[in-house]
Amino acid sequence: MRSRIIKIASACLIIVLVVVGRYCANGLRRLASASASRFESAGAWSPMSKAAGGAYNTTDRYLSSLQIPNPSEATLKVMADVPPEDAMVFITSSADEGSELVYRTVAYLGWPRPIGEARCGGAGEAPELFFHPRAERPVKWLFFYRIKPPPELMQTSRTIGPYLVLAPSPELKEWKSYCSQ
Amino acid sequence: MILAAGCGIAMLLLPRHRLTTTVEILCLAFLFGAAFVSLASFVFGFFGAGRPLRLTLTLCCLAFFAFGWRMRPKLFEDRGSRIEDRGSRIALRAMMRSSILDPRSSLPAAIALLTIGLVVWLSRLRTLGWDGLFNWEIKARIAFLNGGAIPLEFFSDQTRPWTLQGYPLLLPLTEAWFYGWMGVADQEMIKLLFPLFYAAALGLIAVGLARAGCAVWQMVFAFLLIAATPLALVGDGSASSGYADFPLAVFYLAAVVYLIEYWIEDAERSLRLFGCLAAIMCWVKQEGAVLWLCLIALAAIKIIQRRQARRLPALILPGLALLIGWRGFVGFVKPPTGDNFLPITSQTLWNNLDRATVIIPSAINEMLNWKHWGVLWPMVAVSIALLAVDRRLAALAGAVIAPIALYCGIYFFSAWPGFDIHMSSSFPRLLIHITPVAVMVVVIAAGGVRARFDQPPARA
Repeated sequence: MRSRIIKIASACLIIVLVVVGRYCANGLRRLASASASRFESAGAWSPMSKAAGGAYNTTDRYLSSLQIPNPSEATLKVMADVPPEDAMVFITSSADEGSELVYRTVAYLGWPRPIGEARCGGAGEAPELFFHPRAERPVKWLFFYRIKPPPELMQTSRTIGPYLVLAPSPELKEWKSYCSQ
Repeated sequence: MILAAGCGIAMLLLPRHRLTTTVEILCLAFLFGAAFVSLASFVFGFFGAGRPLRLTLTLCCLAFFAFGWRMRPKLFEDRGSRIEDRGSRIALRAMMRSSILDPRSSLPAAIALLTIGLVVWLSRLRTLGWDGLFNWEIKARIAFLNGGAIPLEFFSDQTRPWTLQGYPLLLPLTEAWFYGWMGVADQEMIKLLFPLFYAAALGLIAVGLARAGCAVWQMVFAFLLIAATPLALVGDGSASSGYADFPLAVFYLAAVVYLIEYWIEDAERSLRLFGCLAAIMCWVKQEGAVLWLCLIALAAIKIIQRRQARRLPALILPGLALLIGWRGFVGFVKPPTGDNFLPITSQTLWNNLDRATVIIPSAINEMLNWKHWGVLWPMVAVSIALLAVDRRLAALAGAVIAPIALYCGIYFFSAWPGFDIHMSSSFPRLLIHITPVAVMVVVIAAGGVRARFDQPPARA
């Protein structure tokens, strides 16, 4: 008799849990969205929206600001024929907070190539250089994110959507010159 | 392969001639398997990568399983276990047989499955978090692209210091092992690794409670309480985030479970198992060394009380070897990471003593943040007060209080200009490390309260 009562109680509890769980799910979604607010301020990531799925589930979400379908695969495709020993630099505006997420995601996808970061400040200011590649690995490629590349690089550049451009740079100029566009 | 290797190691290390449950072996198998595969990938990775590395590791996994399997008969004999409490024996036996038709085991099993299902759902719903991708998964992907071993040049890559190259590698190399077998680095599939850690946590809570003399209803309470702790399920560091914090919490829980067994039963093999599990924490995350220190100090108290000083080396050596080995490697490769902390000296502490006026209120505020913790920490505070009278379980209270005190203490040495920002961004994740053990504390204390009500009134 006692075991039958326990069985019935177990079944009832499971049903209650399922029903309550459905109601709690929306609450959990809201909570997780709140915990991710610091990323949302970066403007590019909304982690609790339904993930698209696939092998590049997370990086596609992080690159959503590129506004193209399958941004991770598109970025990998453009980088495919860049030799692994070539260093690259990701040039962006320091005013664009979301660009840090895009830089790190591009650097994630770009392994084993060293990828540094240059952040352009106000007009006429020299950009801040972060994570600069070693001197023995010369920078041969430049990413431009939400910055227009210099006209002489435009012909050989490759676009990854409307906001990201990869351009070969046979010889580096002063960093400031890349920020003036 | 992970389960095979871990099963073998668990069977070699588990105490003999006492009730050992399948759930216990499976949970330990997963933890030891992940530790073995990652450590072996790191060590053998210096000599080669690709198919030879995978074949070597596979053979090692099978060899461990074969060695462990020979110990199997001794594990399931029950000769003179000192757990005399009837409730716990029923709970252990129920877990051993774990028949879904047995109502005493079906209720906790059903609730455990439901909550594991919830974590799977949340893991599928969310993408990897910031650290989950840029600190942990990136190393797994790099190892996968390099045939299962992280190339040395990664550790000194000047352009990727944000991956924190000096952090231990249990999680990335376990993920890389899965990638190797899947044949693709899949950011969606790898998230399913983390519900396994959650399942191991539930299994170990059940084992720990049963060994501490708890009944089936307390297991149910524990499963519901951990599921009702929001930051254990969602948010940075949670079981669904892809961070190393929850896996570290599970190793901490496992170590505490066997520390309690040693504390209560004075079993030497429990102490050896505890020493190995505590050592692995240093291979999961840097904070693992702090937790290791706390637990070793607690175990040393009991060892010295029992005049068993000869057991100390076997307890300390595994963790010390891992710490020295990893620190030596990091010193050799010199990763380009910045310092988050000032030199840990008495002078720094004295200079920053006024930070206590910010650190203590911030810590209390965080623990009272119901959006992160529900009612867990207020319950823990009450439970520790209740447990204080039971000297048998003093280690359990110490395993909660000591890490919190040390974690608060490290902010005296924070090098961040705004150390309060450092604290608010990292302290919630540090508390996750202690959460499963805190749940055990609450549940055991609740059992004590109920037992007092159940006692027949004394005759006048």
